Amino acid sequence: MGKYILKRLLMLIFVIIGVVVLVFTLLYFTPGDPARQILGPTADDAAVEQLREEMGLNDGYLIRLGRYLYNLFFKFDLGNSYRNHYPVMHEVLSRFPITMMIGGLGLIVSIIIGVLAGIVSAVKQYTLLDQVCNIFAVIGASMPQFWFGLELSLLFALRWKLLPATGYSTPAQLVLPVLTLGLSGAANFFRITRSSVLEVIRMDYIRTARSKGQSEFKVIMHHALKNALIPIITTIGGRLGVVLAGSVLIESIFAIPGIGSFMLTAISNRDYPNIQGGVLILAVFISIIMLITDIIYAFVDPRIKSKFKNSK
Amino acid sequence: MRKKAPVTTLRNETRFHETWRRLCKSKLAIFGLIVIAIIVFIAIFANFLAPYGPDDQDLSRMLTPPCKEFPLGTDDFGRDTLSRMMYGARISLLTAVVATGMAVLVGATLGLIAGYYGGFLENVIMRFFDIIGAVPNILLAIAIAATMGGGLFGMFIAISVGGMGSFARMTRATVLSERDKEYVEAARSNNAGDLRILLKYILPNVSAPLIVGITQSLAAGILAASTLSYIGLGVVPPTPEWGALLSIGRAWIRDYPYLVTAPGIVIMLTVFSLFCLGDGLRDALDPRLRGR
Repeated sequence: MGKYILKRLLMLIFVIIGVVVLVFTLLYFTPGDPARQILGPTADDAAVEQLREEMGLNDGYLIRLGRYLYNLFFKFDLGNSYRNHYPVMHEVLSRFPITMMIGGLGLIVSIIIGVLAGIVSAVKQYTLLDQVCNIFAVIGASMPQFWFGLELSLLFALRWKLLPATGYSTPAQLVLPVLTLGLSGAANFFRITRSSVLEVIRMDYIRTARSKGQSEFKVIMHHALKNALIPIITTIGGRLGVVLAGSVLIESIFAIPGIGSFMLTAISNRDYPNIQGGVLILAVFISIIMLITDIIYAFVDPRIKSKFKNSK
Repeated sequence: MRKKAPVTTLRNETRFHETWRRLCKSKLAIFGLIVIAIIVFIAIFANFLAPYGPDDQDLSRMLTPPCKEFPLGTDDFGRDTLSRMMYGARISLLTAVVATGMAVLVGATLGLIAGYYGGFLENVIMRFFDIIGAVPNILLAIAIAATMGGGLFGMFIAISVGGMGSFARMTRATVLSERDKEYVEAARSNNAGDLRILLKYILPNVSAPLIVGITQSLAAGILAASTLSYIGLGVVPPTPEWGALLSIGRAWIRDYPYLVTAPGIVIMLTVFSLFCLGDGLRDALDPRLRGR
């Protein structure tokens, strides 16, 4: 087990460094001169040149990459915004809990809806209910998420005035953004649950359970679900990433001051350190979550645990 | 004349015909195919079909609700939404097709190389895609599009990079399972070169998942293009594109909701059709997976 965790941990470090290099490289090739952007178009060339020298912009790619890595890992510094010169790291981290809250709640909602619908659909395979669930799942995956959010806020907040359109401090304000993320993410969990339950309920041990005279409800909930849930757990990490990425657009629709709206403002201002800083922090966080779900997965499924016990 | 036995005709059925026959059994897949055909037709002949030009302004009629003259209303410059959506189909579809094409070309090539040659090269290629895969596609697209400074070309690159990984993994897995089989050995003993073995013998094995992957990637490409244009990293404003129309409509959503609803429904319908077609194709190409 320890060997497995160590292996995954090394992989994680490799991926994180890779993502940092990727983001730095994108930043490096971004058009425009950062020094010019900071000082504005009216600054004279000598001042721009001096700032370039101070910021180390005249050095080569590798030296700048090294400095970027050093600053990030040892000083926890992602540079400053071109606009207001605030440190990117501080801005991103202070907004992080809000994004996490919205994303986490959205994920929970999509797991509940997706898994329940998936079980029902699999148990009632080929019925009308199954087909309706299937079509809804495809429709859910076909919508641009931000458009779904816009339509929800149009109907529930602007037209029917049932829920507040913006904000994030009261539970009522959270309903629409969480519902947007949750419903559009549910399609994926639905598909996995359905196919995984379908696979499991054809197995012999389920027939045994049924022939013992157990109720169908108990057979599904007790016996089938235990095995069917394993593939679902593995996808949670990846889905959290998609939900967090989706929040980039959703936050600005509902005026929630998380990383998403921070990045969107940065995009319209062409404030590159902020954009790439947001991408970096989200990507690193997602990788860590993936690692954690992988380890949980290994604990839940004794087959994986035993595989690594024997291969010492 | 000699009569052919029915068994012979069945055996002579090409793979294409067989797949087509199976595909026709799925109503949703045929629905998807027809809708996509109509949208492609509209996109190609937009200049004949659209009632107005994409940039025709009539400032006296700005923000007109849907009526006889303007079936889907007009925007804040008095431009006809329906016409702009018809022209917009060109950009949206083009982006999805080009981005998918690049993703398949680069992804499948690297996957073939990685699977066939193995070793250090395989490690470098697959670890690269591991890193790319750690960043959710839309975040990656935003990061790349921002670096490229937006625009159509930037959008192509930004969307294609995220899709390469799955095509690479798909082809690599097939190559790994096929490369040591006897028919490959037979081809090699016939003095076939690496390139010939890869393209003529191994590549056809991956065609089924590849075709399904392409329809899914087209759908994802349309969604990603609309997202990038919506946040201002896609096409530049006067160009009509579905996501760009949504971005304009958003400012007026309170009083003129049809400016947001109409383009969104078209995006949804297109992506829905592609998914249906993809599901139908997957079932038709591999009957074992039916209903899963």
